[in-house]
Amino acid sequence: MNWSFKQRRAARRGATPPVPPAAGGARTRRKPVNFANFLTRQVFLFALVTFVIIVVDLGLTLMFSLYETYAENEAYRPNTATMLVGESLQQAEDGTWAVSQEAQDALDSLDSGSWAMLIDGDGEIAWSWRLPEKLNGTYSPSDLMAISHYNFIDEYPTWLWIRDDGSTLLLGEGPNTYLFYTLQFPTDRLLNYPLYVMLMLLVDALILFCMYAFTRRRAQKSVKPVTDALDALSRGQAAEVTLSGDLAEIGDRLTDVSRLIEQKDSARALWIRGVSHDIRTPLSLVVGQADAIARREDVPADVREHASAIREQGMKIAALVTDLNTAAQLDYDAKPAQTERVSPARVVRDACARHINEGFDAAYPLTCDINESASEVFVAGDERLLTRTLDNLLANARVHNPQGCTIEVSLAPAQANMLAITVADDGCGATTQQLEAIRARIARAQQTGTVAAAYGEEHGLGLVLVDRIARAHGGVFTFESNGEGFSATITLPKA
Amino acid sequence: MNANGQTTNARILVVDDERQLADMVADILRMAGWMRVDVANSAPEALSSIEEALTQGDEYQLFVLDVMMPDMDGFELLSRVRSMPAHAKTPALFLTARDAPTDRVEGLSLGADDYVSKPFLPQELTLRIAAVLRRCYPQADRALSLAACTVDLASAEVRRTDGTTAQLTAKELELLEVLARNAGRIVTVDGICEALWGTTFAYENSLMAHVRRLREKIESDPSHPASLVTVRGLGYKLVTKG
Repeated sequence: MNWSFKQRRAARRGATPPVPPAAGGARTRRKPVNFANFLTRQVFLFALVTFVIIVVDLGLTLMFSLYETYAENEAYRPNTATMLVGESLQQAEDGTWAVSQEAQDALDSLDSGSWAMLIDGDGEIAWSWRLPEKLNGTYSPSDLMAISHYNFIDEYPTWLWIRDDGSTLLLGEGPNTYLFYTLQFPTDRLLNYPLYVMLMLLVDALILFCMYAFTRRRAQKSVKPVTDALDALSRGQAAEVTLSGDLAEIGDRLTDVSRLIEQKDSARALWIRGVSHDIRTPLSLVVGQADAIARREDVPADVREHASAIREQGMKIAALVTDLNTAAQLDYDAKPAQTERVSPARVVRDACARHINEGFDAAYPLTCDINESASEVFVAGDERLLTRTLDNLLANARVHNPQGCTIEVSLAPAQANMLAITVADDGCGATTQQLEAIRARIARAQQTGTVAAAYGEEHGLGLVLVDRIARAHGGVFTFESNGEGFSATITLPKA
Repeated sequence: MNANGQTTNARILVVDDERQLADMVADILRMAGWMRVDVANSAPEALSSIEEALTQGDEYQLFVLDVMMPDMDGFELLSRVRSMPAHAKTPALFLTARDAPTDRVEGLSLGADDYVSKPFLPQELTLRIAAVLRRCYPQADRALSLAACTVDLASAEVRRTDGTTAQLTAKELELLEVLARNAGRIVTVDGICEALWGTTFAYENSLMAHVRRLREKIESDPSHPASLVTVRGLGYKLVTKG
C-alpha cells in the first residue's frame, strides 16, 4: 500500500551487500509492488471519481433550475407577461385600450418596479401601465430596433412584443434588475464542444491526481517515523517517536507502547533472574548432598551410583538455569552484549583448559590450535557470553557422543577481517533431519527475535544460544556434519 | 595436611541464611580436612561470632559468605568485617546464586578473594578454598616435591636429586607458585600472565623465557620436562610427586 516507501526499501536492499543480519533477527520482507499496475489502477480510479463528480454536478444543475422554474410558477415571468399583454390589448369603440383579465393578473404578479406601454405605428404611446416618467416620449422605429437589440431602455430591462396591427408592446422591470447575454457560435464549431469538455475533464482529473499524489507523499513522509518505530518495535528495540501536527498523538502513543513493552520485558527478565536465583540455592543442597553420598565408602555401590546420578542431573539443571538466564539477558536487555575488548584466544584457552581440568579429556581428548596471527586479536563484545558459546559447543560435543570422541578447537583468521572459532569432533555426527531441525529452530529464534521461540517440542537451547550470541556480536554461526563428526564455527568481526 | 597439601588448622566461618546449605558447606569443609569450621545463619550472628573469636584470641582465617541474605547482604558484611583491624586482610570467598558479571566485579572490588556460583560441586569449593588459603597464608615450610628436585618455596631454593642446588629468581618463584597452587591442573598462559604481570597481553614471550629458565633449574632434562609440562595451545601444568 505504500509504494514509494517500498521502492526505497527495495533499492536499499539491492544496494547493501549481503552482510550477516543484525542482532534482533531477520524480519519477513514485504513483497515489492508492480508500479505499472498501481498507476493504472489509480488513474482508472480517478477517471471514475471525476465521472461521478460530473454526473452529480449535472444532476444538481438540473435540480436547481427545476426548483427555480417551479418557484416562479406563482408569478409570471416578464417575457410571458409581455406576450400575454401584447396579445390581449384591445382598442374599444371609444379608442381606449384594455387588457384581458388574465393579462392584468400577469401584470399584477410582476415586481413592483415593472411597467408596460404600447407604441403605435407613429411611435406615440397609445397605452401605458405604471410607466416611469422618465420613459415618457416618442419612440422611432430605430429606437425600437435598439431596444429589441439591447433589451434595455437606459437602465430599464425591457421585453418587446410586435402586434399584428403594427403597434409594439414594451414591458419592463425596474432599473438594473435584469442582465442579458447572448451566445453566438459558428454551428460547425459547436460540434467540437463535446471534445473540449472531455479535454477539460481530463485536465481536471490530472490536477486531482497530482494533488492526490502530492498529499500521499506528504502523508507517507509524516508516517515514516511511525513505520520506522513499528519496525523497531518488531525487532524488540525501544522506539521513541516525536511527531508534530496531526500525528503527534500517534507518536506519543507509540512511545508509550514502546515503554510499556520495555517495562514488561524488564519485569520478565527480572522474574526469570529471580526464579533462577531461587533455584540455585536448593540445587546446591541437592548437588552437594548427592555428592556427599556418592563419595561415602560405607554406602552400597548402587546407592552411590544413584547419588552420583542425582548430582549429574542437578548440574544439568544448573546448566539449564544458566541458559535460561542468558536467553533472558539476550532477549530482554536493551544492550545484551556488553562491549568490552575481549581476547578470543583467551576465551578459547579458558574453555579448553576448563574441559581438561574438569577431567573430560579422558573420554574427550581435546586439541587446541590457536593460529598465531589470531592470538593477539580482539573482538568487541561480552566475555561471559562468548565463553558460554565455547562451553555450549564443548558440552554439545560431549552430550551427543556418550561413547567419547576427540575434539579439535581452533581459532584462525577468516575472510574479510573476521575471526573463526571452530569446535569440531569426530563423533557420531548428526543426520540431515537433525541438522534441519536445529536450523529450523535457529531460524525461528531469528525471525521472532527471541530465543524463547526456539523452545518447542525440542528442548535445550545450546546451539540456539550460540547462534544468538554470535549474532549479537555481529557474527555468524554455522555448523555441518558429514555424517561422521560435527563441526561448528562462530565467525566474529575483529574489533 | 589435607588432600590439598595444606594445613587444616585454619579457622573458617561459613555464613548463609539457608541453614541447611551452611551446614552442608561446613560438612564439605570438614570432610576435606578443615576441622575448625563454624556456621552463622545471618550477618549479625556472624558479626557476634567474629567478635567472640577475637576476644578468645583465635580469630577466623577465612570467611565463606552468601551474597543474598535478608538483614545485611554479604558485600556489606564483608566491608564491616574488613573494617576491623584484625580482619583487614582476612580472605573471603563468596557463594552466590547470581551469575551476572556485575556481581563478580562488585564482590572482587570489595576485596573478596574468590567467588563460587551456586550450585557448585563440593570438590570445586574445596579447591577454591584451598587456593585462597595457600595464597593468603604462605607457610613457613613449603616444600614442593617434583620429579627431579624439591623446591623450598619459602627460600626459593631448589635441591635437585643429583645433589646440586639452584636459586630461583623472584619471577620464577612466582611462576612456580601459581602453578603449584593449581598443581595437576592446566593454567592458561592468560592466567599465568595475569598473576605475574597483572595483564594478559604481550607477555607471552617473556613467559616462555621464564619457563625455559625455570625448567633448567627444576627439570633433569629441560627439553623433555616431567614436572612443568606444556599443554599445547593452552598453557602449563605442574606435575607434583605424591
